[in-house]
Amino acid sequence: MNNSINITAIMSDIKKTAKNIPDFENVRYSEKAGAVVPENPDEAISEMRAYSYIHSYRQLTGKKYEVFLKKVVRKIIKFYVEPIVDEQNDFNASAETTITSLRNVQKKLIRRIEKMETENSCLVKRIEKLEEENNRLIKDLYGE
Amino acid sequence: MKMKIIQLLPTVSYGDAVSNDTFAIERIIKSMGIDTDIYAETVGKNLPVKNVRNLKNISGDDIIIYHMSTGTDLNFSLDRMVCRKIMIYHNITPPEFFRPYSREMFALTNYGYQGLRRLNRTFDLCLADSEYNKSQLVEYDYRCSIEVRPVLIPFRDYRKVSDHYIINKYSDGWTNIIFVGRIAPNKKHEDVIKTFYCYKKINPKSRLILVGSWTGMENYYSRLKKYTEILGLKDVIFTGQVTFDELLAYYQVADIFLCMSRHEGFCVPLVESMFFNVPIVALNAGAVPETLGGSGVLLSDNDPVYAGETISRILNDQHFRKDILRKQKKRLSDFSYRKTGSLFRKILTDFINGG
Repeated sequence: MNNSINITAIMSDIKKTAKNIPDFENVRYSEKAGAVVPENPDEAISEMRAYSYIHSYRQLTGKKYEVFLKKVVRKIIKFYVEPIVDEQNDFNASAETTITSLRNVQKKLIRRIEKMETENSCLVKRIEKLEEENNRLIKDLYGE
Repeated sequence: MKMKIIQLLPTVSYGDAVSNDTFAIERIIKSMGIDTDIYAETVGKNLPVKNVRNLKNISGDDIIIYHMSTGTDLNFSLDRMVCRKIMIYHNITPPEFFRPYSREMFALTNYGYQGLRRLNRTFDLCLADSEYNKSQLVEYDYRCSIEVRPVLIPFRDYRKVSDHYIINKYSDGWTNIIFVGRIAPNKKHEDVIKTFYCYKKINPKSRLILVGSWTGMENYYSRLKKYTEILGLKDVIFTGQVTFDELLAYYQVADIFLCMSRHEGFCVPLVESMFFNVPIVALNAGAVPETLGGSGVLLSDNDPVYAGETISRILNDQHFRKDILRKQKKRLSDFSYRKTGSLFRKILTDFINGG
């Protein structure tokens, strides 16, 4: 361990850059089999973001000759697979944008509905009061 | 008919904390002159444990000690066994941690909590590894007597010969930060990696060794691997499953034990670190503060800068380091096999006589 270094200076430097440390939540990973879709739509969307970009590249495993054979196969089908993966990624990106914007619209609508529900319940109360007032006036007018 | 004590658990495998606790309890029961057996649904190779299918002829005088730690059909068949029952609650990881990574683990832990709720009137006595575990039982409306007793750790096993290859490989003057525990999302390995990222800026001659199996958690493991790549960290070692002598070696080369786990029912590796005189830096979560009992360094949050700074301070300030080790040693004495063993013996004797 080096004792001569200026830890305070390094730490203040780290503190400055700490905000820029990549967030684990944004790390994409392809092996999504087994994941359970969250009930919360915002969580589901952030998970969808993590999965949306896919790769055609896979780590090849097996014995030496198996890996070699797999490499040959990969080379042969590369011209066919990669454009499909690119197209899929384009689709995933646009689907991600669309779903996110739909979620934003949904949030706005939920807020509007909540506001309208509050206004509606106020109006119902007001109508009830006015009906009461009206009934009272009718009573006074006809002396019932 | 002579009374028999039967220990029952879903899985017995070599090296895991629950299995070790089971074998230690077996030794104590045998030393009391009581007939005992261990039954499990899944049994590791060459272990002296019987399959639960062969569990027959339980008499009313017998006692079942059930180790609860996961979801299993056993949770739903226990109340059919007519005898006195004790549960040892080792805690179940909340399913939410597994949701993004494993449908199986999510379902299994969820099933575990269903079982935990179902069993709340089944036992005559519950033993919890920690107050934290006890509070969960209370939350699940367990009304029987609940005693807190630490996990039994046979320390004499830790004096066995360790793996020389690992000791030679990592005794190169670099700082070794370790964390021991299966690769699982509740253990928050990403926070350990993040902290190491900050610490490595202070001390480039350092490495992080993550000891533990990732079987069943491949999705999480691959995400962690990618994260280390994104951070440009080359000195992060995922050991995978290790043998016991390898585990001993990793503790022996460790300079710091860093735990950022969000959910622990006891956390045996903390006690192991105390045994190997490794200073502990751990996040204040779950049963961790209770197990540390005022020793080690407890972090109030998962701020990697602060955690990295703390590690640096411990490694540079010999006074501070010695003080931490002194307190850890003192705390370790609370977990001595003699103490925890006699506590268990007393609880069991009282139960047999009074229950």
